Amino acid sequence: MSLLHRTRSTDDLPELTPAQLAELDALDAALAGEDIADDALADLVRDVRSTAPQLRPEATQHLNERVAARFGTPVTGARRRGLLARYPGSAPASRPRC
Amino acid sequence: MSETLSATMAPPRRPTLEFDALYREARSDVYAYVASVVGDRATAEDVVAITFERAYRKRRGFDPSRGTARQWLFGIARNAALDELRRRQRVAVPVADAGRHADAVLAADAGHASEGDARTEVVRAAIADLHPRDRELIALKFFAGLANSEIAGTLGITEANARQRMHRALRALREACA
Repeated sequence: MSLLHRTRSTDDLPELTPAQLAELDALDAALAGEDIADDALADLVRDVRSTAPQLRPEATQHLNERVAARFGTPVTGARRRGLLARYPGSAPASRPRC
Repeated sequence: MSETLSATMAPPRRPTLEFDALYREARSDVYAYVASVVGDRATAEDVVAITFERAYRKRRGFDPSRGTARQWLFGIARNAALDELRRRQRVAVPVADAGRHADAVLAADAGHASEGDARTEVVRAAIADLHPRDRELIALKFFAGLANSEIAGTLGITEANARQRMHRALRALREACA
């Protein structure tokens, strides 16, 4: 669980050299689909991206439905007033006042 | 009061977050990132749902002056994933090595790789064997496609530190895949 504990720690890492910075720039270029001189890095980008975990279609469908339903957001405020105007009597009743 | 003066005095309006567009654009990337962190497909699906629900509820609080929408969203995803990891610790469910879980979820979910591809297996195992902090960085860069500045914002570190960590993770991955 080291991810939990090292989030905000300041690693004692050395400053990057120009060559290392160039390697990171090449990585960004490869990820953007550009041709780069470092063939091994280009291959690595392609290979790693091919292993990206994919959402199952049924999970995507379920998530789409939850998003479309706005996660069951309580109908309040302006949205409730809009619903009442369009569908009188159909919107959930507001909470009774004590 | 003139219209010009009224316009000058009106509070600046914050751009509205296009939630549906962000959802459509980022859901697959959020899942790939979360699955790499939690290492379990069912849990990852739950965490992704929690992420977008939290994002929807917090959407009016999004401030573009503090970073991109993707950075904001992945920050929410990261917190949701860490909540899940903490919950596992609290309930003392035996959590096997996250790397082994990650290996399994990567193997189960890989989209484009053909089965039995030796190179794919090497890369998958290499990612799973990375230190969790390096695996997270690789996921944020390779799967989520975040810029180093966005990764810095997501992790709450400086951009220079994000570049240093990214280079360390990249070096570890290159060595493991060599």
